[in-house]
This record gives sequence, structure tokens and C-alpha cells, in this order.
Amino acid sequence: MKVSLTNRALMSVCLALLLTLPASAFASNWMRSEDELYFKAGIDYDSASERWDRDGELRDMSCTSSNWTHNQSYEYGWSYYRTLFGTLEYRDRRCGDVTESGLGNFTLGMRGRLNLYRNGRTWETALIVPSKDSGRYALRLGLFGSFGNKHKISNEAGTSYELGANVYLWEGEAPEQLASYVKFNFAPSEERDFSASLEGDYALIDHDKLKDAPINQVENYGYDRLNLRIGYSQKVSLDWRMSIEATSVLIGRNVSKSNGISLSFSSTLLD
Amino acid sequence: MRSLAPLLSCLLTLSGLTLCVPAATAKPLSIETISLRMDSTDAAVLLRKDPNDNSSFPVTLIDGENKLPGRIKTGGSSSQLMEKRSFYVKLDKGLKWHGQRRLSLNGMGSDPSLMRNRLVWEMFHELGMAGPQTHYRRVVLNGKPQGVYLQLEWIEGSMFERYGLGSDGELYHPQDSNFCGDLDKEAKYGIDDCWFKFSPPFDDYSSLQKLIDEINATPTAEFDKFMDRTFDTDSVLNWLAVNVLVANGDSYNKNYFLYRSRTTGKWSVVPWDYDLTFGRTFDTYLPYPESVFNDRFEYFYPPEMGAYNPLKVKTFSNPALLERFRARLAHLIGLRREEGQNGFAIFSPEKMTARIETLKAQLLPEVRKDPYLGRNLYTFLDNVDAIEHFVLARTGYLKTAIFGKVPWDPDVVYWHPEESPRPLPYPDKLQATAKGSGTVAVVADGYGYLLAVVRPDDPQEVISVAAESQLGQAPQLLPPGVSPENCIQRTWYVSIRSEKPQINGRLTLEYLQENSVLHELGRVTDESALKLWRYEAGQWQKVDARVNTLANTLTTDELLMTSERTMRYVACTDRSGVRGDK
Repeated sequence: MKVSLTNRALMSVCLALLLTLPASAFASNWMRSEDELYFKAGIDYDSASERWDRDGELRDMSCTSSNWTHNQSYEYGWSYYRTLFGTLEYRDRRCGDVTESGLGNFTLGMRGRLNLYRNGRTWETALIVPSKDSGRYALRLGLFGSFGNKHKISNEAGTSYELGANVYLWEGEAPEQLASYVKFNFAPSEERDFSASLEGDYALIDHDKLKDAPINQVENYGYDRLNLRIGYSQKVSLDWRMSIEATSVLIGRNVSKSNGISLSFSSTLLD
Repeated sequence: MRSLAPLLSCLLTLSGLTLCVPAATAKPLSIETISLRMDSTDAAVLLRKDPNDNSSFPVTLIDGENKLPGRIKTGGSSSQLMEKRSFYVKLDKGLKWHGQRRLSLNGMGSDPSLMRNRLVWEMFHELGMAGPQTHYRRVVLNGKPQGVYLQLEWIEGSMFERYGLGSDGELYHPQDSNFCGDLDKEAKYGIDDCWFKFSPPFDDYSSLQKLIDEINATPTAEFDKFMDRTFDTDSVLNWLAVNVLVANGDSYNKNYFLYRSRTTGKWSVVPWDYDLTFGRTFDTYLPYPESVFNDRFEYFYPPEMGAYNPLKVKTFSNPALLERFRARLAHLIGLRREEGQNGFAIFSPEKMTARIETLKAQLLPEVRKDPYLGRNLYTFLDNVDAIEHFVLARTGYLKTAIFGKVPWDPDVVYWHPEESPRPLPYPDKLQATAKGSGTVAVVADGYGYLLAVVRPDDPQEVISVAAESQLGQAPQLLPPGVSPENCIQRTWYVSIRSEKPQINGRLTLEYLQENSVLHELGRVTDESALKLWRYEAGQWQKVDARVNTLANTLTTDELLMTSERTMRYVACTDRSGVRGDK
């Protein structure tokens, strides 16, 4: 798929318009080539009937949560040195009588290179903007790196390791959060790709001061979590890849013991 | 060449041999310098960045007092992996340098001979084909020389205008990475994913789609009439013929342009990208990029080599077009002249060698100064030598394969080495004789393989050379202490008949290394460590020989043969050059 749109200013306007919708956190260690536009859209589902309380005790929940999220991510190569990105999402969260539907946070950020000459080692800064009056702003700062012989952009065969960390600086009383991950990626061919990652979240607060988080509202209260993610990605056409991932929270504090699955499609629209 | 000794520039090789090249026999090339200025960080990034990144950077081309701003990015596809990058400069609107707004500067990182594209385009131009002018340039970036580049004229309307085809035609090029610009009716992707339309700049592919439909729908028996009605037939025949000559199979689904002239109403083929030709092979057993950039060598791929393309297939299958193709090929290698056609014998070894030697002499001073190539001059010299060997061997092969006793039957018009791993492409033993003066190449009849090349010191001397090779097997007789596994799996026998009792000159022998599986290397891993041994009168004698690890040849200037006495040769390494010792 080729887009004859090359005017960078026009592209920026389009991106800004897209980003007027709420979004969730999104991070990557990859820089886009100048004028390259990357798009990813997906649906996540997760469910939980137990949760760890703020002392780390696993307890039954009064209801079984059932959460759907539709998310979209955009990345655009502004120049060799800067990649702009944004995410938006639509959430449907249910647990018993508690229902919350609507736009979630949206994120607008910029990514730069830690290493001028090779890809995969980046810094990020992003602004998280709530879509609701009750939401909170946050500034996200991150560092990411990848190692190995696999080139992610061209999806060549090979292996790679990735690791990265973000710090969320939330507005108001919400505690700062550290979010990190380590990921192993194996691509036996250009068409297929397997991955496994561990994602760790940690509340940067004296844990004795953690307040009990209502179900599905962990962002505003602070939480710890170790999450396992297993993924498979398949090239489905010249321009599109499909990814399917399964997630499971292994251990946590102030967070649901959820299991989930996600399906997404991605494409490089212009390169 | 010995008679030209005073004019030669000589180098002492690693093996202690003296290697000479013409130093002052050729008129120097007129090479203009392109001076580029850019931010120092951008420049460092441009030269070292991830090859997959397609970003551009601000640049200024300095032309005397004129400063021409624009953008620069790296160019090429696979060749972007090379240390020496190619560049693409696009000047700002309204600005031109030598009539060009877009400058394609090929660093030739994937062609250390620096001449494969140039040689091919010289041939096409002599045949009257529409195609880009080529100019060698020195590129200087922020005051630092980047070496010699080949500027290829940007393929656009003005180029076609020069050939009387008008500038307002439709220009298409296969999307390089999708490998589906093969004109097949069942393309694996949509037409706009298989082809890029350069002009006119709108997404109407109907003309091309109509052409593809017609190519596929036209019965083979009527294809000659269709061709003459729809195409500039010569452009197709020349494209196919030159591809066959230089063994270019990398063209038929990705490397060519199609231009539909509104002036003539016909389509023309504009060939493209000849850096991986003249013997370079795709090694299907190695991972990318080693599969593409390796030192394997072949000259015996059949004429129909390369991807399927109905334009190629139907041309070879239609009797009238096949005859025209054969006539063009015979014309180009000097077998039979075609009336009214330029370029007679341009691919004959004599003419090609003269061209190559001239270019070599002209380029050598540039290569010495090249920051990338100058570090290993022998890479350049070996590549040039390999091209000369290829031309000699290829013409011998084609004379047998297409014009030999057994007529060429192109029924099997799609063949690619990765699809059919083969056994050794010849029997256990081949023998042949040849008679002549100057360069005497002994080619095995029916197979087209080169068994020996003899160049007497006296180029006027008429000799008869009988050569025999035991192929694909360890030598049965070896110098003392040498293991057969450490030897090239081939034995050469050469005898010469002459009016003189002794003949001095140069002898070239070759071995097979088509890919990492099909070869005669035995356990030899370091070909440069090969030594040539001669068995004569019951004794083994080590002979000074140059190994060209790309051409897979051993060349000795110590031929010194007694007339009618048969010499046996083997090539072996000592322990340091074999597998398992590193």
C-alpha cells in the first residue's frame, strides 16, 4: 500500500488530529525512517476474578472483571533524529454493576536516538492526557535498547533481545510508577515472529502508604505487577502483519490477577 | 602482456609474484569532482547509519561559485550493506547540475571492479538502446574524498527525449523488494505493489495492466507479431542478449524499466542494475547477505537463467523471435554479423579485454586513492581479472550451448539454482583440444567448460593445446606429504604442440566453486593458500601461481612446456588452509 502523501506539514496535521482522541501508554525502542508512517490497531481482552490487595494478599473479587480495549498506535518519522508517536484507545470495563465505557487516555510523544548510528536504542518522552475530568495528566520518560541480529523494521529472520524502562510522573497524588520490560524475540523467517516478555510495574512510593485501588482503576492509586506476555506475529499480506498475544499477571500488589489476549494488525503505510 | 613491460605498473603480491597492470597505455578518464557540504553530524550519520533507514539530510552541492542546496540520502538496495555507500542527491526545485536535478551516485560497493555497470551500459549504448549516460565522479564530502563513484543519469523523460521517444511517456519500474515485476498474469501482489509508476505521476496502471494481459494472452506462435506491434523489439532482444552474455538472472522480476512512448506508441525495455553480473552468483545455501555478496563464480548458467517472465519465455519460445535473438547474440560475440546493426563482436574476448584493460588502467589511480577500495587493491585487480576470465569462458560456453552441435532448446525456460540443487555439472572426465595463437582457450565440446587457457609469450605463435581434466574427485597422484583432501578435487593435464621444442607463456587453470555446496574445494578453506604443483618426468615441482579466489583460477607465468609432453597439475594447500585447522 502506497500513500502519495509526502507533505510533512500535512502529515503532522493529520497526526495531531488523530491524537485529539484519548490513548493509552505505548512504548517502543525503534526509530522510523524519515516520512515513514506506522500504524497498529488492535483489540485487547482481559478478565480477572481475583486480585492482590495492597498488602499483596490474593483475594477473591466481588465480581469477575471483563475488559475490552480497542487501541490504535501511530508512529511517524519526522526526521532521522525524531520519531513522533501517539496512541488512543477506547475502553469498555465491566465488573458486576460497575461499567465504564468510553475514551481512555491518549498519549503524544517524541522518540530520539541514544546511538546516532544504529537503530533500536532510544529515549522517549510522552505526555499522557486524560479524556475525562477525573483523569490525570502524566509525563512519561523512557529508555530502551535492543540487541541481537534481528532487524525489526524489515522483519528479517533472527533473534533479538529488548529491554526498556519508563517512569510515569502523574499529576496530583497518584504515585510515580516505574514500568519496565525485557523481551526475547525469535523470527524463524521474515513471515513469522515469536516473542516472550516479562513486564514489571512498580509503584515508586512507600508501599505502606498505598491506597486500595478500586477495580479497574489502578493507574490512579499505584500498583506492583509482574506480567508475562507471549506473542506470535505473522505477515498476512505485503503490507500487513497480524499479532496475537496472551498475557498473564504472575504476581502483584493492588492489582487484578488478570489473564488476557490481544489481536492486532500493523502496517507501514509510507516508507 | 610481457612485451608491454615498460608500460606496466607492477605490484608485488602476497604470494611473492609480481602482478602488472597497464599504467600509461590508456587515455586518462575525465573525472569530475562532486563536492558536497553538509552538517558534520549528518555526514557521519549518512556514512554509518543503519542501511535500512531511508532518511534524507540537507546538503549543498558546491559547483564553483554556485551553491546548490538539496537533500541527500543513501541509495541502492542490497548494496546499502556495503561500507562504501551510494548516494542519491535531489536538488531543490529549479536547480540542476549538468542538466540533472536528481543525481544517482553509485558507490559500487557491491562491485569492487567498478566497471560492471559501465561495461554493460557501453554495450547498450553501442547497440543504440535508450539508457542512462554513465560518468565516473570523485565525490568529496565536507572536504573528505569518498572515492570514485559512477553517476548514472536519472531515468526520466529527458533521457527518452534524447532517443526520440518523447518525454511524456509512461515509465514503470518493478518494486525492487517485492520480486513481482515479472509481467506474469498471476502476480503475487497487486499491480501497484509490484510496480512503481514514475510518470505521469498518477496512479493509473491501466496501460501496464493491458500490456501484461496481452503478453500473457498472446499465443506463443503469434508472439513475434505482437512484439513488433507493441514493443521496440530491439530493446527486448538487446536486453535478453546482454543479460545472457553477462549471466544476469537478477533482472526479470525486478531490475528493468518499462517505458511506453506516446511518440511511437510502443513499449521499450530499459535494463537496470548490473553489479552482480559477470560471474557473480547467488549462493542459496548461505543466509542473506552472504547469499548475495560472496566470492563464488560461474559462467555456465544457461541462457534462460533467472526468474520467470513471459516476455522472456515467449521470446525464446517463438521460432521467429528466437532466431532473431540467436542472430543478435551471434552478432555480439562476433560469430555472424547482422546487417545494419552496430556492435559487432563487442562481447568477443578480444574487444572486451581491450575495454576492460583500458578501464582498469584508467581507474587504477582512482582506486589507489579510494578510501574504501584503496586498502585492498587486489580486490579490484582480482575482480577485473575475474571479469576478463568470465568473458573468455562465457563466450566459449555460449558458443557450445547456443551455437554448438546440439541446438539450444529453451523449452525449460525457467531455471534458478536455488530450485534445483545439482550434482557436478559435468562428467568425471572432460578433454578437448584447441589450436590458435594469442589466447588459446580449450573448451570442452558439448559442455562448454573451460579446461585450460594458454597464452604463449609470442602472441604470433600458433600452438595446439590438448587439455584434460579429471573433475570432482581427489587427485590420484600427489606430491609427497600432501593429503588429497587438502587439494582441489580436480587434476589437470595439459600438452602443447608447437613447431618450437619449448613454449614459454602463461597457463590458466580453473576449478569449480559455484556455491558453498557445489564446489571442488575438498577441505580447502583458504583458496589464497593454494599452491600449484606440476608433475613432469616423474617429479613434482611447485610452480609459482596466482590464485584468483573470485574467478577460481590459478595462473602461472612459468608455463615452460616441452612440445607434446603432457604435464599433470594439482592444486593443494598446506595444513593452514584447510578446514578444521583454524
